[in-house]
Amino acid sequence: MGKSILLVDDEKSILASLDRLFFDSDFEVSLAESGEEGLEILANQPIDIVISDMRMPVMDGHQFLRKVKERFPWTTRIILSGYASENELFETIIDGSSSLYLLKPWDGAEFKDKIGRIFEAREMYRNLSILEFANKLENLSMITGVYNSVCRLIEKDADVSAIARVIETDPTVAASVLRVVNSAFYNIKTGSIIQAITYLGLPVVKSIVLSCNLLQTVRIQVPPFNLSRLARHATHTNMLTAAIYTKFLGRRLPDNLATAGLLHNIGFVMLLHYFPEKCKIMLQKYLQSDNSLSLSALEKEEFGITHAELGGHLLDWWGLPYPIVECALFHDAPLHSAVIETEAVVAVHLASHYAWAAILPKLPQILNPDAFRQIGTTQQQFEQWLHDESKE
Amino acid sequence: MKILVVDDEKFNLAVARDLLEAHVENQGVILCNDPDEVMNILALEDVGIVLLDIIMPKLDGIALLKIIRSEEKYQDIQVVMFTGLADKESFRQCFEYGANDYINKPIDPTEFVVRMQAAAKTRKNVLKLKQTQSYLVQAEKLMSLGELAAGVAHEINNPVGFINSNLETMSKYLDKAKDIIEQYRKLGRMVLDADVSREELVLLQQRIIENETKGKLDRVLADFKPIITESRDGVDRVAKIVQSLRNFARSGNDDAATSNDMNQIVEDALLIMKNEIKYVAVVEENFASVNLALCDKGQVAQVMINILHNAVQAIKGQSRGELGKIAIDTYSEGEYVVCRISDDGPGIKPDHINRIFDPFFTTKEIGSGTGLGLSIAYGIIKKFAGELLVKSEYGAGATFWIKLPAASEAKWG
Repeated sequence: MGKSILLVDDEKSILASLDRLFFDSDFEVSLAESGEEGLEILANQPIDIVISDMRMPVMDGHQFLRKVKERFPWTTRIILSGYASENELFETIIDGSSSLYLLKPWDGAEFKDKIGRIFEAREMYRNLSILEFANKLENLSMITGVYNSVCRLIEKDADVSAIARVIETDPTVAASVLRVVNSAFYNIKTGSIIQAITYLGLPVVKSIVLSCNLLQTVRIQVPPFNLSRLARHATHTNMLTAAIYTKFLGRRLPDNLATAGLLHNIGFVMLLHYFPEKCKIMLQKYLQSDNSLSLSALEKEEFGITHAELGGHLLDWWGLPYPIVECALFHDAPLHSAVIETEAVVAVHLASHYAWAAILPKLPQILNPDAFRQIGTTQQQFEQWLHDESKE
Repeated sequence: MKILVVDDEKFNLAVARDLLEAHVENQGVILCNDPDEVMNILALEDVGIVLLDIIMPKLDGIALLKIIRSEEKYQDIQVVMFTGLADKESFRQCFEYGANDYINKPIDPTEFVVRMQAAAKTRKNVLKLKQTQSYLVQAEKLMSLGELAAGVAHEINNPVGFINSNLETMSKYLDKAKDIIEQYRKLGRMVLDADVSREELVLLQQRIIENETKGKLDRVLADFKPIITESRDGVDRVAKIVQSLRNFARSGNDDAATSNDMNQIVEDALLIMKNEIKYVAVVEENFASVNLALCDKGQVAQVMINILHNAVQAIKGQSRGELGKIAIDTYSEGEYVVCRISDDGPGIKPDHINRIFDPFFTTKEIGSGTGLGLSIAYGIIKKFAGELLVKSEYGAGATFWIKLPAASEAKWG
């Protein structure tokens, strides 16, 4: 698989300096000085990653990446911005026209390194076998019906009340969105979707809708897994992730990761929903092996893909920001070489593990013992903290 | 705040004092029976309310009222007329010349107290309003400072971005070049060594060439010049921005007019606005060689930035999918130096154009502007004895003229 990048910036000197970063790499770099030029290049040659400046005359970065998303949805789209208000950047993330933003001035080595990791991750969640696999999932769009409508409205710049009304058309989804919003994690008390959007912002509410929509529509009949356990696991992981950030990393969970915990295990939910019988057999094998077989190896054998890859693939397809895709893709392998935000993935990994430990204590779960060091703690300290927390 | 009572009759003064001290909030009551003294007292004391008798020998109350109101700094004093006159004409005159209220003579204690209390309250509110206004002016200044800073940040960010990245690449280039030079040096030494066979030399030479290809040395060498030229251009850009910022800093808040090159002021303002404009419009500059203008360059640049910013916002609001046009001309006109800024944006609505220099007039959404930008701009240009004019054909753009006195004329004229 070739690795091709398209760089778009109205300033030649910026393009030249970015191009130079890749001069001794195996990346194929194309340059465009405007959005129009960029679209022309995309139409004529395969491009994997598009990196665009935000502020450009005539067609700005947001308009350009929107068009790219429409016409070349499989590209990974990144905004490179010097100064654009946080709002502008947010807009490109809300409608999924870009999934990541990098800041100017950039550090050359770091920039190249990030792009390298994204390519590595792309090969995991966007390879041929996963594409074929995802194509076979029937009625996928029905499972996320409410979410799809919300996305369409956001793309049309609809106002918040219209978006809220769409969410409310499905009372069970609306109710579970409000339940999540009112849970301890978000610390908000409201009975109104509009208010939830005002407090949490569209990107967060949008991904809460996705998670609730999925968990309301799928059918799970693979003991010991059932819907309520999976839903509890999702919210519990989300809360724990945020708590890990405050306790061990000393800062608030960033907004773009506010739903990473909710969505990280989506791939597993989909496997259980679509292939209950195969999953039953696979889980039996897994439980009998007494941890000598890994779940992902069993999944590869059975489906050709893992639930983490499927989760990353779907979340990317549904237009979620890259940091969330990354957490789903690597939640079982937090120290993988392709991870960009190690702290986030480690936090989700630990949160997910201990959430299962609370919900299904007998189920063996993957835990990477090196993960604790990444957030400056030890397993013993961490478990002590968890123990104290649960008492409160 | 003190209350000044002016009356030629001592009895009235005494009654007024007793009532005021007992019933109206004040920091002192000053009694005066000589109208000629009033202006002196106002200059020395912090007087908030003047109670003014109309019929007095020497100078009557209405004439005195006129004198008080003729001074800018006494506009906010509450003047209450104290009168036994009942004719409508003097009534009309009092209010026309700026009286705030009146009290009938002979004094009715209830009426007197109530009206004076009302005057005290109004005075308090006026002060509060003044304070709020000065806060708002401050806020507007901070906001334009913030916009300025953001523009400069972005303007510097791009060159710093690529210079930094180029330096990093250059160090990689140098490592590659050094590596190959070392290999050639070794080859040189071997050529001088009689023990080395020609075959060995050829073999080494071939290996070096292979390494050159692998390290893309041709590309590296070819890029030596461009990478340095581009980076230098970037440094020049940053230096220019710093220079124009220095021009702003030097002028500070000085209200003293100095002789300045109008074209240079436009250049400075443009340098800072360039980034904002670039994405929205093309700038056409047409500078004549003009006389020096008497002004403070930092403040006039602020006016230009304000006008340019409005033009950019107006064109942007049209989302027309192509670049707009902003034309800037400088020329001399009589004893003025003029800078004309026209845009081809949506223009100004006819019923707005007379109000755009009014404080707090804004067409922007509540919260997105104080509505003070152009009124402050107007104040600045007036302060330097210039004129700020506007014309607009609704739907076809707007034009602003900044007229400032030319230095040679104003100095000796």
